[in-house]
Amino acid sequence: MMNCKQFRESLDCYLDGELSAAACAAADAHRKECPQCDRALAHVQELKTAVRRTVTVASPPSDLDARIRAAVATPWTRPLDTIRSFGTRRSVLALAAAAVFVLAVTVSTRPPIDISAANAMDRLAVRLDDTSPVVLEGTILCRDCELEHRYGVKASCKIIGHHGAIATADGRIWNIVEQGSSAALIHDEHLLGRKVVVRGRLFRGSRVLVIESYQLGS
Amino acid sequence: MAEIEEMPAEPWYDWERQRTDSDLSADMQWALDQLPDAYRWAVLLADVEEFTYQEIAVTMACPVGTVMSRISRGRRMLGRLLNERRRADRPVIRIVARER
Repeated sequence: MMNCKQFRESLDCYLDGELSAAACAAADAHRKECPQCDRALAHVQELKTAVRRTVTVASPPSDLDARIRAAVATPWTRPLDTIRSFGTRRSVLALAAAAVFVLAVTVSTRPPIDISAANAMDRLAVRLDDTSPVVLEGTILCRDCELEHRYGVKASCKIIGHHGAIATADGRIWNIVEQGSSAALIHDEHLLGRKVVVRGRLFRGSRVLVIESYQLGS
Repeated sequence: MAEIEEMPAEPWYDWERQRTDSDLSADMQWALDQLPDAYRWAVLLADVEEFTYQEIAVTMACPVGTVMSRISRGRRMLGRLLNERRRADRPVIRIVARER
């Protein structure tokens, strides 16, 4: 049985669904017997709701959108206007600096950009996504073979052939929308394993890439 | 960051809401702005983006225990700031000793 002190200490975890089933049951039981703790929980729930409502309705600073977009552009997805030439790294460093600024994370002992942090920023920006053109770096691989390799999904590539997709540095696989300009990337098996830099638009919600042009690397 | 982690967490659950939603939003925006960055991000990632603590830990490159403490302290701070804000906006009431 949980006492008031234990309940208050685990209040946030309980509210955020982070407690184990057993601890959750103990907290449920305590709430029923302790109106004060139940009220405390209601207050924090209200606070949580208020935070969400505030951030949802608040009008952000005019430059916030640009800052987040810059931060979200990880080394493998960069806004077009920052691209100077294939292999240029200056823009990456600038964007990494922006990502760190927005995240406000101390990075003195870490590399300037943390891919996992960048991905989280990417998720944050899904709602801001307007599919503006990006340049994306990745490796062409067979989507179905990769799913088989990673998760044991049974692929039929030996029968119907491979299905090219682009894997980015964070391990995500982007499906390619089939168009004249992209057909080779999907169907040319000789390209599997090659690096590629793609200009196009990302549709993050469906993890799909519409390719306008591309340049093969090594 | 170390000195922030050492700050005492106040058990402040009893923030009152007697204002309109728009007042509350403005106050909350102000209160969020007052939070140390690490606390604000932890609370926003949990409450707005609904990340799990594990995801927040990866995002912020810190242990899950630190995430828990940042969220808990961050929310307590928000509650305290909102209460302070509300109190500051109240007209000053002076209690004068009654004449005998």
